[in-house]
Order: sequence, then C-alpha cells, then structure tokens
Amino acid sequence: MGWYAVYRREMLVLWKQIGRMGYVFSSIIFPFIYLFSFGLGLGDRVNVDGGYLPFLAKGIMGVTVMLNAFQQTAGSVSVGRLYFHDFRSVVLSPIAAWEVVLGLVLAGVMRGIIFGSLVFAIAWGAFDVGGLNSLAVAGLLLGSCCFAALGVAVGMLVNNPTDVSMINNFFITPMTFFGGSFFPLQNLPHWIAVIAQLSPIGTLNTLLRSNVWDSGAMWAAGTLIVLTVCFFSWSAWLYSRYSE
Amino acid sequence: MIQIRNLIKKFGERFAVDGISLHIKQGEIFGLLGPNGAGKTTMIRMLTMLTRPTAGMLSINGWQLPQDEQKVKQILGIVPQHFNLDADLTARENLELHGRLQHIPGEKRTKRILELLEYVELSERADDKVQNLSGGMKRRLMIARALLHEPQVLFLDEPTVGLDPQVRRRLWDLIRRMATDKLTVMLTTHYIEEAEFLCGRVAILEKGKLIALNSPAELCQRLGVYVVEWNVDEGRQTKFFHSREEAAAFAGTLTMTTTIRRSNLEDVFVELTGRKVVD
Ligand SMILES: Nc1ncnc2c1ncn2[C@@H]1O[C@H](COP(=O)(O)OP(=O)(O)OP(=O)(O)O)[C@@H](O)[C@H]1O
Ligand SMILES: [Mg+2]
Repeated sequence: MGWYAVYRREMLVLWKQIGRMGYVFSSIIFPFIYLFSFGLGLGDRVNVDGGYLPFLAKGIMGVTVMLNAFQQTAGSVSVGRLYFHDFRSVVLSPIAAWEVVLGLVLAGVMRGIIFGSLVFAIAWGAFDVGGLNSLAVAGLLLGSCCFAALGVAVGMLVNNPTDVSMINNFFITPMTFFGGSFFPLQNLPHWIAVIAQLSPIGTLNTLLRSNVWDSGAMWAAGTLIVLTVCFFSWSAWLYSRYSE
Repeated sequence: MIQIRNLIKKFGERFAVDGISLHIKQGEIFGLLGPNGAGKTTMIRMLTMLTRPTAGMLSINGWQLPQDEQKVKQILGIVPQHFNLDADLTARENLELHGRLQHIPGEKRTKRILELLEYVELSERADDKVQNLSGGMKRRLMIARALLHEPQVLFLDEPTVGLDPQVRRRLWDLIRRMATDKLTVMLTTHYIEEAEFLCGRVAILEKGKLIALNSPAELCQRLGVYVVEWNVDEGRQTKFFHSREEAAAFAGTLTMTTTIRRSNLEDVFVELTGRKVVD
C-alpha cells in the first residue's frame, strides 16, 4: 500500500489548496475565459455536427484535464524536488518506484477529473451543451491518466523554471490552441491537422466527442492507454534512477 | 553496521567525496566534521540513497546498496540539513504522512505520533501548520519524524543548527539516550564541542578526503594534550605539548603573556584543516 501513502500525501496538499478559493479559481480561470469568449463570441457561427457549444464544452474539458493533470502534477513534483525539498520525504521512504509513480499519477488523475468535470458543469449550466456519454467519461479518465503520467516524468526531468516555461510555450500552448479543442481541425492546413490529430490532446478530443464506440473511438482510447503505459514506465524508470 | 569502501562522488569535474572508506559499528555515535563544502552532506545523502555514488561500495546492516535499497530505507531515520517538511500541513499531519510512507500500521502510528510529539515537546503545537512553527520547533519535528518508525540507524545533518543553548543541551541528552545497542547514529556538525560531547569517534573531512579518524580524546592525545597560547600582532599562536612540564618550559622562554590549557577537539580541527570553523 505504499502507493496509497504517496497518493494521500498529494491529496492532502490538494485539499488544502482547494480550501483556498484562489487555487480553484486559478485552476479553471483559463478554461473559463476560453469557454465564455469562444462560446459567446463564436456561438453558432462555427459549423460542426451536433452544434458548436457541445463541441466547445468537451474540448475545453479536455484542455482543463491537460492543464490540471499535466501541469499541476509536473509542477507539484518539480517544485517539491527543487524548492521545498518535500519530495525527498518520498525518495527517502522504502516505497518501490512503480508505487510512488502510481500514487503521483492517481493524484494527478483526481486533479484532472475534479477540475475537468467542474468546468464541464459550468458549461452545462451556462449553455445548452447536453450531457456526457460513456465515451466522454472514458476520455476524462484516460486523458487524466495519460497527462498525469506525462506530468510525473516531466516533473522529474526539469531542473529549473526555464525548463517549465519551455514546455509550456512549445508543447502545452500549441496543443491548447491547435489541438482542435476550440474549433474543428479541418479548417487548418492539412499537415497541422494531422499532427494535431495525433497529439495526445487531439486523440483525447476524438474520444471525448465520439457518439458511439466505433473504430475511431476505440483507436483513440487504445492510443491513450498505450501512451499512459509508456509515460508511466518512463516515470518509474526516471524515479528509480533519481539522484540529487 | 555501516561499511563504506572507496566512496566517490563527482559533481561534474569536482570531487565532493573523494575515496572515503569507513566502518561504523553498531550502537556507535559517529561524527563527521569538516569545513563548509567538505562533503559531509554528500556522504549522508549517498548513505541515504538520495544521491547516487559515482563509485564505491556501501552496505548498511549487511545489505548492499543500491541492491537492497528498499530494505535499507526501512531502518534509516534521517534529519536533513535543510528543512523538508510539508509547510502547508500541520505537525501531526507531517508525522502521519511519514508514518504511512514508512508502512507503520494505523493504530501504532497514532500511538507513536503522540509519544514522539511528547518526546520533542511539541504536543501543544501538534495542530499548527508547520510554516507557523519556529526554526527550532521545525528541527525538533524533523527529529520526531526521523524516529517515528524506530530506525536502527539515524543520520543527523547539523541537527542543532539554530537551536538555543538549552534546547541544544536537551537534544544532546536525547541523542545520548537514544544511542543504545539498537541505534547507531551518524551526525555532522560545526559545533566542535557537540562532537566532543556526543561522539565516540569522529572523522574529519576536507575537500572530500578523510584526514583524521579516531576518538576525540585520541585525536587530542596525538596532537599533544597541553597547549600554550600567546598573542602576537598576526593573531593567536598555539603550540602543542605532550606534558605539562614541556609546555611550562616552553612558555617560560616566551616574553609575552601565555596561557597553558588542555587541548580540545577544536584545536585538532583547526590544526588539521588550517582554518577556524565559522558557522
Ligand atoms: N547537487 C550538487 N551539484 C553540484 N555540486 C554539489 C552538489 N551538492 C554538493 N555539491 C558540491 O559538493 C561539495 C560538498 O558539498 P556538501 O554539501 O557535501 O558539503 P558539506 O560538508 O555538507 O558542507 P556544509 O558544512 O556547508 O554543509 C561542495 O563543493 C558542493 O558545492
Ligand atoms: Mg552540509
């Protein structure tokens, strides 16, 4: 049950953070702005099957999952390593690498799920966006797993704040805007659309927005699972070689 | 208990620890001394597996590192040089989490936490956030945390920095009481009198190399038990002698005022490392 100790530690910190309203607010402020600016600004002018607002709401849920499961996990691990040194209490404990990573990933998954559903709930309350089907729920779960596992690896790799902003500038921001979260990919140049479609966020969007478990949805789910396993193993490998 | 053979740690091209071999017996209180940057913390980090050695052999309780890492980590208690508590959480929560990380079962954990809070006199502040505790309280909390899972080897990296003299004395008593056959202690310190009071043996490091290893008394013995001290314009001069007569005879040849006293570990340290320890 070593993983549980690690998970609990992260969650305890998360609950304290959630207790401060500012944290919740800052976790959803970007998605919130995107939702209302694109939702009110573009409204029905964008043509997508099933309407733009449901499309947008799920896309923004995906972005929220990415920002919270990935960024918050990477942030928590790297800040704990580099500034507060509280990550050492985990490193010094007799817990196997895979259990440590499992605990960290599950905490990241919780972050993704909590804030992803919160943002979707806001969208649901503000606009006519319909509910979540089983594919969207699967997307919420698998997307959180995939991004949280990547977050652990990145959190273990970065060595200073510049690294973190590099990753934000070169991966997260492009994925946020080109990943098909806010508008359909077919309007983009073909090569960008292909890259975006294959990126983790593009894959997540496919799953979130599918209506039936067809081959496309299965493929997306499978891809997220494979990526999760890869990122997880990578994190565990990095952790087992951890040295300050 | 602890075997160290030819331990080396390089950061880039610089040797932080340069080929150290030591054998520390069970129940011993062992001190690591040395000027800033000598490699004391790096030694402890390697023994606790926070830092991977560049080369060398390490074993604790007969277990090899890094192969038996998990087993070794269960019997180690660590008080690091820098704070690594969760500042957002309370003292109790910090201990609680540590107990879980060390696999202490629920009921025993609660009991041990109460005992240790009592032990380090923090019961009253148990539910205060760590960030609101004073420096000395934080250090005491780190000591409680290190002892929570009843370790067999305790590493203390400058455990009494920033503590007031009373608390420091109390802590010394605590460490002395703890170090029984069941607990081996390795500590680093810049307070020479601390090492003299606590440690059965000390190792003096300089630039990653071991330059002396013995009991404080033996080290003084070797240097000379009597010191003649006198002041000149460049500062204080000292000379060591093996007998009081020799010292007195030498003092008689000097024209200025002299003092004769017994040598201490600080003299040994200054002689060997050629610097006054500044903290
Ligand atoms: N992570 C690191 N990266 C690069 N160099 C390091 C690192 N950690 C320690 N060093 C270097 O290794 C040497 C030994 O440092 P260490 O912290 O072990 O000294 P110390 O004896 O504990 O000193 P102090 O009394 O100041 O605590 C120093 O030269 C230090 O700069
Ligand atoms: Mg040090």
